[in-house]
Amino acid sequence: MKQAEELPRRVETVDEAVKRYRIPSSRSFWQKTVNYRTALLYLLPSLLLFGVFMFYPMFYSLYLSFFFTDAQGDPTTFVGFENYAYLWESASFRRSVLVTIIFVLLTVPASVILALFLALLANEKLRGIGWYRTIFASTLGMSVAASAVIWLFMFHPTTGVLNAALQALQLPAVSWLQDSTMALISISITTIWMNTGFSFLILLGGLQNIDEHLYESARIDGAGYFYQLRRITVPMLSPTLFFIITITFINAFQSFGQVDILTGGGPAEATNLIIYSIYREAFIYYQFGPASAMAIVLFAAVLLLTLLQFKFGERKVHYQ
Amino acid sequence: MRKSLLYTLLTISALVMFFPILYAFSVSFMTSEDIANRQIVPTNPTLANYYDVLQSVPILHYLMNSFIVASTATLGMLIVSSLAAFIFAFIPFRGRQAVFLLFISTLLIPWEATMIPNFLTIQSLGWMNNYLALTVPFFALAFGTFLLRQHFKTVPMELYEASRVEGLSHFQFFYKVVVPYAKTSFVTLGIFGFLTTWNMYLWPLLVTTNDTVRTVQIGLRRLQADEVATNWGLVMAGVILVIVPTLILLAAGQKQLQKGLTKGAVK
Amino acid sequence: MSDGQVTLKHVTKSFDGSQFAVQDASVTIEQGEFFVLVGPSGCGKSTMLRMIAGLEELTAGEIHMHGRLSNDLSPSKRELSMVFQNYALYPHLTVEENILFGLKVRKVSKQEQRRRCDEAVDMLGMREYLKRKPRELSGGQRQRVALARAVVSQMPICLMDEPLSNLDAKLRAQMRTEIRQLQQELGITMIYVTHDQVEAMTMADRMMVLRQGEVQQVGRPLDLYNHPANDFVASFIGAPPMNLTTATVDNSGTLHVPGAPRPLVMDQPLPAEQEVQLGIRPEHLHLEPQEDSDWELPVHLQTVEVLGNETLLTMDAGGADWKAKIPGQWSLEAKRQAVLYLNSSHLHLFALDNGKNIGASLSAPVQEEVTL
Repeated sequence: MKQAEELPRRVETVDEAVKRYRIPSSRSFWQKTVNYRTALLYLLPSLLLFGVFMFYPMFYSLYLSFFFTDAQGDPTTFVGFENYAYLWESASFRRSVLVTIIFVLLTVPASVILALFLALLANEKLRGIGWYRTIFASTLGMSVAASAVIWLFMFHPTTGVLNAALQALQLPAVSWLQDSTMALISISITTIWMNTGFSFLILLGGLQNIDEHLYESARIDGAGYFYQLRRITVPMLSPTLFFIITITFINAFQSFGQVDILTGGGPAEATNLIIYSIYREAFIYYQFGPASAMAIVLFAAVLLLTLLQFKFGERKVHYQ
Repeated sequence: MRKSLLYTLLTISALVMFFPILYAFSVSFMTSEDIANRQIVPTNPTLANYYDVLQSVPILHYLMNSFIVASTATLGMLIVSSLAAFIFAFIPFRGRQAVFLLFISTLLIPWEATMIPNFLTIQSLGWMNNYLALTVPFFALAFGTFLLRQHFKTVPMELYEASRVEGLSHFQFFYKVVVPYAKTSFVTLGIFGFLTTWNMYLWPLLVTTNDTVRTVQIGLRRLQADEVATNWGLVMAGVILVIVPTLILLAAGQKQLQKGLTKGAVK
Repeated sequence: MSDGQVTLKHVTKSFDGSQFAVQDASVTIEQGEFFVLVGPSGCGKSTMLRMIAGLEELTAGEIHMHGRLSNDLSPSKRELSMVFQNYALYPHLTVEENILFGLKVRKVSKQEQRRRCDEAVDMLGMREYLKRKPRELSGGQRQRVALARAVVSQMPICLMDEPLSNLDAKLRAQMRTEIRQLQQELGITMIYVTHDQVEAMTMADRMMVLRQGEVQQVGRPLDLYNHPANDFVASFIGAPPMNLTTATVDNSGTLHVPGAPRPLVMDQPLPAEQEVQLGIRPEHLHLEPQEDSDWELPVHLQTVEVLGNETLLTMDAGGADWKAKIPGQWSLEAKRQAVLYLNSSHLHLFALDNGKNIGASLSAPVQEEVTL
């Protein structure tokens, strides 16, 4: 008869095991740091580029905002908060802030709702749906320059197709870009149209990730289309919606090309978004100090709003 | 009933959304009389606008610049982002989480806040009117790193362990296993990167002062500024030349983009 | 000659510094041995295997491989192959490329690659799907590819982590035999992790039973079956598991079992005045007195299931749920009284506090020829 192997007394705690049985590692310092070395090597390009083109300029913007500069952008005189004070008193800048806020309010909700509407339509399983999807996504491939030039022509007071359509309907012509109220609306329409492609594509992807079974069981329970939309689609889509709202929001603050091509900030600064006034201040008037101060204010505002959005938005988001 | 309602809605939406593009296409074949008469469809289609636009501005040169810029920036972005993503997905080290947060924090730094110093940096590097200015700053991309990391994480840990048993180095594992495994995510990010860099506007406007490396978007602005009073058909021909490459790319990669981007966005 | 030998000395692993994942495990696995690590999920068996593979660092203790201290050796230098639970096939490579992948990395000559591949392919009978991608294969075929990868590596040690758990029951039985044959043909050391005690019993030369990181017992399958070191091993090995009930030892050392008409007199002195656990395997219970029956227990039958030529009874034995496995087809009525007969030398006694076997001398000796 064979006896099972005899086992020695076991250690009771991890500390005891370490004290009694741990043997010193024979690996050299060089071998032990292999992960650090690999990580450093692979992360170096990113870290270097982020450092040079993200973190450094971030701080340098802040630094510049406390100085007057010469035309080369070199700081000449330290002026403390004078640049900020100048902004505070500048009617033009206050106008810019107001215009930007209105612009964001005009574009963000409309973009997201339009994209959601299109995504819901295009999520149906129908013959030929692929064509519709491609068309709805097409503005993602449109550059801001091309889009703005097309809309510029469509907005044209005499040869533009929009006024032609109005005339055909016996309606008065509209000064799309020449009227100070209409100009901001026209730029918003262009922006919404340009945003749709990307938002549509992301939302469609989000919709297709929702489990089919949820709808099937809802249908068995007799839920109608709008009930399903409210109780299944929107809650399940909420992370994607949240993402899209955040992105659209941040993009709205950076809308530059359409202003540059359509109105150049006019008429009478009616479409002078902050980003556009930064551009003018810095690269047309070479006022790098005040321009940096504007950039910092814009950055702080966007950051604050984004954080607020995360704080209040996240709570309502339903993660799977 | 439901079906025909859906088709009606889809078709109306498609017409509205696609109208500006179709219209630009149509106008690009119109004679100036058609344009003045506000025609929707050219009565007498002509290629003259395309011929003229090629004569009036070096649009082919701009297109080529755009190709070089967008391809280089995309390639650089893929390489730099994937190297970083590989570390975040596979190589643990103390402090990795902190470095990852540092990467993510760059998402909060908008372009406008860094634009002025970056312009000054490019000037002092002597990169004005140089492809480097249009590409290198875009190589490191937090969004790209994050997207690739999400895809890399779907590579089973067992494959990593098997590769260690078989004696692959980190780099071999990266390019022999991870890259082929996650190649669809490279396609996604590649298309996305190409579209965004092709469509860049403000930055090329700042760092190009002559035609040597000027991209087609800025070319379009110049074309519009020069020709707008005289010839809309010519401008639209330019527009069509500019948008065709990206629209083709988008149509081909739309499914891929939709799947790939959603994953990076949400999960 | 210690090629293919693996020795663990006080191997300890803790992930959080306070709880053991593996607690002070020591064993020597000989060259050419089929060694199985078995236990319920979370018992530390996979962690132990991963430490042997070099995928996990030791908290304390030593691992010697091929006679050399190997604690700090990287996995690829340990001269072993490994088969993973999900096979770890590279999805972008064909079957053939998967098999040759490791050899290419190790810069084995083209000719040699060809030869080894042919050999493994013939051995595993998989020539017809060499050019396919893993996703076009069935679970069993993927399993074979993973095995082939281990075969071509020609390493003296092969580690397998639950390689059969994704297969259906029939295929699993077939692969058990194949893997065992393969190991014997190649003469390699196999260290095999499973949670399935049937796999352990049928495949192992020796096995180690683990529970919560602690080694319960190491030995040959039948030794463990016949002489479980404690109540955990007793109930883990064998299906259905060993029946257990609490019995009392009186001041004269006699054992009183709840519900039994007469006490059991042990031929071995037991510590008086305490409770112990009494265990008996389901197959040692009988409905009719056998030649060697020397004790009986009245029970209340709950269910009767006839499984082909064997009948499974569940019953209430003095408050404990017991099972009996009886040869033959018994059409019995359930929900009634019955008497079970047994031979007291088949009984196992375990201490109530730590579960240790305290009645090893009661058991019948192993018949050597059975193990051959």
